[in-house]
Amino acid sequence: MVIKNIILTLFIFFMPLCLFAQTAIFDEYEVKAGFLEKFTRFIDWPAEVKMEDVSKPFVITVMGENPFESVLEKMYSQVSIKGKKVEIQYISTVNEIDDCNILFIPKSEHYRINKILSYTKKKPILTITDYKRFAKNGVLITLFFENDHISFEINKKAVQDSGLYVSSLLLNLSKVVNTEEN
Amino acid sequence: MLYKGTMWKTENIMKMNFLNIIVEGDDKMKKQFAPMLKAILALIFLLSVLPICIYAQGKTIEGMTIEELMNAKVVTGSLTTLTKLKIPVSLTTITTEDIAVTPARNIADLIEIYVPGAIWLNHTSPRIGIRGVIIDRNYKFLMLVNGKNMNQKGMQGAELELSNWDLNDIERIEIIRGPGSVTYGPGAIVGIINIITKTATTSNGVSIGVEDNFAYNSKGGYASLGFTRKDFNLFVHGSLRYTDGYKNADYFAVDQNTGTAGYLNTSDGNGVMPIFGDNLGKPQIKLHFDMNFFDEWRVWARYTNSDQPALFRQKMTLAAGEKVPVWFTGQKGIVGVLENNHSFSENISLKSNISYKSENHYNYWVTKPLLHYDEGGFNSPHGAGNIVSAFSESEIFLSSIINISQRDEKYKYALGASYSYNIYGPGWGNNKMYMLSNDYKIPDGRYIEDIIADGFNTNTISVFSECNFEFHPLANLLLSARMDKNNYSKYFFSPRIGIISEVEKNNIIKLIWQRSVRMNTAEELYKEHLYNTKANPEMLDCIELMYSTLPMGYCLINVSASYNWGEMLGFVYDPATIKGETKPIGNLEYFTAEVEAKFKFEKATYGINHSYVKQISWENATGITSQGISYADYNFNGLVSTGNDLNNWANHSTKLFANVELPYQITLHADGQFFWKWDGYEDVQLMYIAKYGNNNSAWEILNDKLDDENFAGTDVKLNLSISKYFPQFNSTISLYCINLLGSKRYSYSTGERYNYPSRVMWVNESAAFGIKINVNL
Repeated sequence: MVIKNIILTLFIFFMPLCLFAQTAIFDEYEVKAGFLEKFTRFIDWPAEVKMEDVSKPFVITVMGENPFESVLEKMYSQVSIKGKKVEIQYISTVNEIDDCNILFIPKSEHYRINKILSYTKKKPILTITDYKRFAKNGVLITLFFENDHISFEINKKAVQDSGLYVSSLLLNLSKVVNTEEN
Repeated sequence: MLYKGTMWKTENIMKMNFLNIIVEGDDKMKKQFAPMLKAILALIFLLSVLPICIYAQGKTIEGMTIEELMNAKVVTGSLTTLTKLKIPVSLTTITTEDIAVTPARNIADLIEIYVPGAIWLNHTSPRIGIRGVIIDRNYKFLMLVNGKNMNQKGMQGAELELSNWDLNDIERIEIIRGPGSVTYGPGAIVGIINIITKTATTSNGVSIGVEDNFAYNSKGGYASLGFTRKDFNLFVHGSLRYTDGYKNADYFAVDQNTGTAGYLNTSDGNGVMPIFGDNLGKPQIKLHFDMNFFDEWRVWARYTNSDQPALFRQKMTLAAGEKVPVWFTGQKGIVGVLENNHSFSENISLKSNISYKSENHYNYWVTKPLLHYDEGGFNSPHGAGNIVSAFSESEIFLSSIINISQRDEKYKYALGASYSYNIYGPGWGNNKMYMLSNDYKIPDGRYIEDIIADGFNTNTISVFSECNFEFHPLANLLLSARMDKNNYSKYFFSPRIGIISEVEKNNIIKLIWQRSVRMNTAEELYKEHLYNTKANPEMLDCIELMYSTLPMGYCLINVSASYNWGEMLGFVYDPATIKGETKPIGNLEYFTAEVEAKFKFEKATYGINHSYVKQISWENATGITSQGISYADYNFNGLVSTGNDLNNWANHSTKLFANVELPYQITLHADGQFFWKWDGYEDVQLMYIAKYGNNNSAWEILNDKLDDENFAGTDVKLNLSISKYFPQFNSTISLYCINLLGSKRYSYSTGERYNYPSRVMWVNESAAFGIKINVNL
């Protein structure tokens, strides 16, 4: 009888506690993939890109080694960006950077980061990386770890050069880096 | 009336009322249904937390706002996890966090709590069973510390680390379920237990702790120091533990001649031996030292001892009137290892180590109460004293592995070789070895014991190789092979072929075939040498299909199924020729299936797994009529085969655990193990029923008693702990309870051979409360 009471007491004790104890833990690159679409909500591309033309896809390009594995395909087969279907491209040479809208540059590109950014400079391409050193080189948005969460910083100078318009709402959420200061 | 399966008799089911049974049921009903009630309540308790937590995880990344995404907790190193999933084995990892919150007396308990299907039974000390295979010595799996084999090769297998109460120096324990001799060496027939110790980088600073387990009157403490400087890391750990053991336990035993049965503690004036107590008041001591320097060098050394009386025995009164344990065993050992891991380039590295290990082992069975423990044994011929075995085993071991990979690591190759020189001699401080017990004679008429009293040596060489071809994520081919040769054995060959396929991100399918071998113990090898024979090694073939998936960042699911077959060996003694010989005792085929799910949230971790092991067939070898593996092909003393299950095993078992962080830095832990029925034990009862029919009143009484005691029925173990962290002192206080509901701890059965089932033995393990205090400075 005593044992039964102990168990039932613990059972009752545990249940409500569990209800508020939970917060999910997510995979690093699933969250990073999620950020790509969230950023586009706060960014406007110049008119020449014709973002309103929904017959053309929104192109996300990953340069070099793909750290997302198949996450991007999985996520963006269901999600559209700015009303457009999303196309995922993987490229290995700078010459292949073409009419992409987002270019993700992983750490593997450290040896040619300046070459890549020279190519994208003053083009309406949203460059994103998760290698913090690239922020100084002029990548527009850098994702980084901070206390088990992912934050981001924006290179304001690089944004101005690109011709993209970034909402102040997004700037307020980010840390701001200025290439010139660095 | 003789019957089996009382628990589900129709009339009892009709009377069944779970909520009132404890209060209103008669005594017999209480006994019959109490385990079932315990199981249901515990299962509800543990399962309740799981669906609630899953339900709470509704929001997807796609559905989040950018602010929510910024607040999402992220687990890093998913690729590392993925790499682990690609390992061609079924692996369970017990982390230092698990160890800290889990009420466990020793590593044997931890394994039973976390490893799907794993159990431990008593036979002088814990005997570990993995995937249906368990035997009276722990030599069918390997016990490693930091990858170094700690098994006693001479006789017993894994003993040293299993029974030590101190778990505070362990960073994690990796348990491979299934064969693995191709990688880890002969002996890994059914599993590998690898203890990874803490280092200065994982445990920096000073930690001290004390613990008191009230029921076992076990008191001890430890201190650790982790120190890091550039190019130099140092970690030292020491612990001391005094344990009286659980006294006045209820041991159930059956008299082999009369069939009378009952609890020893209530019938014998001498009392019974305490559970997990120290022998003769000698405490357990553990010392560990680990130093890393200049990046590629590491030196570590370790001393461990664990002595304990065997369970299920009444005490013996010595001539001086002292009541002492009648049977006790112990081992202590030291090991020192120098490791070097040198990279010649990005793609070529060489890993080498040299080690020295020495272990002292003794096993006393006090059959001559007028003698002191070790009196007579060393001086009288042929086992006239109280010593079953007493010897030391020392080893010098060298190993080197060269790893070569392509720049993109799509093709990897490893080649290695090792050499071990083993010395078997008198125990530490003694002048005569006592290893080959019993009066075995070799063909020239001399007794073996006289020949090897001063000891003997063996040499073992091994070469091993592994190729990994990653043609495509969908097709990763793994080829491995290993050859071992002892100077008293034949050549042993362990091959493995594996196909590992990453179907899509975080979805891995593995198909592995491998053959694992076990080299006979040095005791057996040397006997074979004296008899001018060489036995084949024990071999187990296994085909295993595994699927691992990380469907969400917080959830890991593993599913595996394996088909296993092999020829089992045993040491068979022939009283007619006074000759013992290692020979095949039968062919075994069995199937295993395991499902495992783990959920890791920010403030909670949950795990659930289920294991199913089913013997497909067992066939005795020619001339063998009895053994401990299965009763499926039995013909001994009027006992004939029945059932088709593995002896000493519960075919179905379910395990759950939950760690929940609450406000005020309180952590709750609960774990439960559910052994749904000990199918092999049930076969014992059926075999005696078949033998006696309705014509043996002693058996009828015994059989009813076994039913009353729910022998072979559902067995539930539930452990709980609550821990409070005090940040101002960087300290944690934990209160815990081991076996809250009480449960049976069965003894390993070597097979029934008498008029009544004298191998039917268990101890009722009662609830044991304790407190732990840890401070990090």
